[in-house]
Amino acid sequence: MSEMKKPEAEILLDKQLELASKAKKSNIITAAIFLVLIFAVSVAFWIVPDNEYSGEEKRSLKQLPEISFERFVSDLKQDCKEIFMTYDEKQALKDQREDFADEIAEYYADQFPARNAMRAIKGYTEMLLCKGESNGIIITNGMLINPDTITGTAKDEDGNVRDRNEEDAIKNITKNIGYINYLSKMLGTSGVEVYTALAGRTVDVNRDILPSLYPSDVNDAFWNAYTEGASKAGINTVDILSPLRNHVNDGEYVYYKTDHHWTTLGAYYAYCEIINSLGEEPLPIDSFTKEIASEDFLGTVYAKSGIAPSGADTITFFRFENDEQFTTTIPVGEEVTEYKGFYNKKYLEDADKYSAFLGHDNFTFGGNNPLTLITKDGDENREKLVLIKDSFAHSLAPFLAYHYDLIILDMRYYIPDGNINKTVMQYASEENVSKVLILYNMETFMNDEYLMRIIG
Amino acid sequence: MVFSSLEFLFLYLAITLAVYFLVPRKLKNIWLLIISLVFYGWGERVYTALMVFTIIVDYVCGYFVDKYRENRKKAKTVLVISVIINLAILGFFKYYDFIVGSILNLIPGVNIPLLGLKLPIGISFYTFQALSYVIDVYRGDANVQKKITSFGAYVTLFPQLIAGPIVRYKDVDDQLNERLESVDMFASGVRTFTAGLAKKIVFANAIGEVWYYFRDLPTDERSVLAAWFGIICYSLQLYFDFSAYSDMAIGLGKMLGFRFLENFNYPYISKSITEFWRRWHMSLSTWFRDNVYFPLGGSRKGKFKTYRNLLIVWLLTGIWHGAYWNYILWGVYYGIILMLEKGFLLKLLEKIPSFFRHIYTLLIVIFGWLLFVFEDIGAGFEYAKNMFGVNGSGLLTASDAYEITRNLVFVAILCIACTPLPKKLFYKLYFSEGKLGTVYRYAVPVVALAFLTVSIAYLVDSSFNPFLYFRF
Repeated sequence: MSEMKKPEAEILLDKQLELASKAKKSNIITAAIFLVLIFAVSVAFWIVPDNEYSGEEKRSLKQLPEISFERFVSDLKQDCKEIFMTYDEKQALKDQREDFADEIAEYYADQFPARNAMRAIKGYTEMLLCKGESNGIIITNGMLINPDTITGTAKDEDGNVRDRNEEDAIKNITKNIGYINYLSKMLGTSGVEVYTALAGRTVDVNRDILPSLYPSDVNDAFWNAYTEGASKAGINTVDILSPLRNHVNDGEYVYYKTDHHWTTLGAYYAYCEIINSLGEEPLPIDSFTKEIASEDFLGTVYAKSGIAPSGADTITFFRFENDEQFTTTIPVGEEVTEYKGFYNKKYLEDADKYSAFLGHDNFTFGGNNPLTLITKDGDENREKLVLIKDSFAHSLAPFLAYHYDLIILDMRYYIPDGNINKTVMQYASEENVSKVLILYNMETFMNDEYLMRIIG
Repeated sequence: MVFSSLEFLFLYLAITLAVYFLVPRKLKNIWLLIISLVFYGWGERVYTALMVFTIIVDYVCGYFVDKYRENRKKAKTVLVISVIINLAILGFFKYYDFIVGSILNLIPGVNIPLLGLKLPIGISFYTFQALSYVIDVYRGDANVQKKITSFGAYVTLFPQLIAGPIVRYKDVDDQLNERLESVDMFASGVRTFTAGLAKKIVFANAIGEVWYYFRDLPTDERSVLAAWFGIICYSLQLYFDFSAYSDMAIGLGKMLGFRFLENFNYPYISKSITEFWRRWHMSLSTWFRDNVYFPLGGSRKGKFKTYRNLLIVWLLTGIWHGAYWNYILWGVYYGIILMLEKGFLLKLLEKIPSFFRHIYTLLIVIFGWLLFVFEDIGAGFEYAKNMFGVNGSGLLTASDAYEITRNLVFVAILCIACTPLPKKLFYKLYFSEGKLGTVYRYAVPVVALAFLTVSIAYLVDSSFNPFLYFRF
């Protein structure tokens, strides 16, 4: 080797070091900045108290794992045991153990000082690189749009668990139409009418403002499955997608920028369509006093994107005259929450601000109470409406309450207990009930497997 | 543990550096040994013992090789023992299941159990390093290391322990006993490390996600352009990931006063495959050249032996990368291409415009990565078919068009970052006279801080941080 000329690699290194020594002050600053950063953040990490929960991300954060000699020894023993296992035993164990190192990594990421600021830096860097998305959330015209809302798993022919795909979602839509059809037929015999209204997701109503190359055909396929299935079955539907899409195209603030729900204005427009179909006159928009409930609402889509380039959302309550004369009653097990009006304002102080609509005091599923009753004080014999819904209905319910007493059922949390001992059919055959409204948004409708409880 | 993690930066590195610079010189290597064992043991509790065993074996062998310096026969015996033990350990942990699995496939009815042992991380790297010590001592290229702690520090040195570069003992022989840490070295290390960290986290991980998107499409939904774009993304991911690990290793080495050799030299600007392999993973090519190719006679014993030697080296290079058939195929693929280039292709290439030489090289490399990335050769073949419009979904689908266009700017940036342009620009500004140079020199630490911050931000909010070398 000695007869060979100096390798290229070595020449490169020499050059680097020669150059490095030419800028003394710059070098001192570089070294100092690095050391200060490493030590300061290390110390800060252990000094700053840990958080249990992140309101911004709407999830629990990893806590400090057990660090002890005992754990080390028991991990070591387990390691040794695994080495001597047979091939099949090892395969079965694969990825099952949460290793100490993984736990520490997760803990460091979750409890990192200024975690939210860090997430924002990442998000804006992604935008700077022209990717158009941050953590899978499309950011366009100031809207945060979650394009991929299929959740859950399914089993393939071989029994392997896999993520659900578009076909599964379409099957689910068809299945749900079947349940609704069955319910309509059953209730039709006793003269109760069933109406279905399906709200668009943000990605649906923003179809026309999405990036020009964004492939919307998948989303169109969901809607085609719904409209075709519904018309084939002959169920009553109310179109609340296209009117809201038009309002979006007009630049109106009908869907939150940072959350997957519609705004109260969006809910109002949907209410107009629905109440017309039910044969009533909607309240005119200027009959409401618009009360700004919060101006710093950061919702569920922001929880994923980490950035909200056009700022936080505003939650508005559409107050109408005497709306404090309504009573909202929410029984969950032994704990009954009851208040005048429709708003549980304690949630406005939390991160989970949308739960101010119909929220129970302690029930923590984002205001998705199994059973909610809304009545008008001193008016015992009003017509009743059974509302089967997901969370899109929470901000719409106050409008409907003006016309009907409401029995609001959430099938996803509909587990019989002391307060809930009736089936949907039984509720629908109560006195003064002549209509059932099913109000979902497409995301729940294509994923949810609990709507079948309506025929239970 | 890996460098691209928060607990490395804000727990491990902080403690390591603090103690390293506080303890007196004679304790520095001992501290490096201890803390490197912690680095390894963090994720590989049991296999740490295996590494310690390797250290002891090669320390003892090196000692006896040196002792029998005058008696070549005895020295050679010790060398052979060391080679056998090292390769036996490597072979057992890395290739046992592969060999047994292949036997089971070939001869039905035999009953040999598979073991399913986890591969000790970095074993291919540290075994080669430990071996190079005994070989270098045997050849008289390096002095014997009397202190087992210093030798242990060399083998376990955390910067290059798990993903290289493979540091030859003779290159650090003197540095182990005597090295000078300085502010200049440290600052240079910070710059190299920071560049590596950003390359790994902001570039490699992100482009890796794009690759996974196209890789995971069902075969019949992958369009021609998507298939090409996907494999280009993988080529970028592998380069940035691997060279980033080397950069981080070299940078950390410099902080501690070590000078490691560069491992990558802009491989994607090569004009031939021969050149490509002088620029890609240089420490591995060098190791095989010094320890296999040259001892076999290199290119000095006639045409036939030259080609034979090339093929052996490339077969071994393939196997070194992983115990799957695709790696062997990949090695042979390069062996054959390099033979062809040596035979006549290089002369032919010199006659055509360099643009076409680049295209030729990149195409060979891209198809090489196709062999490399799919352990299931059949799946790789299916993917390759998509690249030529077979079984796919046409030239371009709507969803592929969206995924490609939204990553175009990013890919363009990465392509520029593959060339020496950014570094040339850096040097030019850094050493320019007058105000511009001064301003720029002060801007460098700020830019480094910005890169660090962005990298940390990506680490804090990451669900995707793969370690690609667990097969090596």
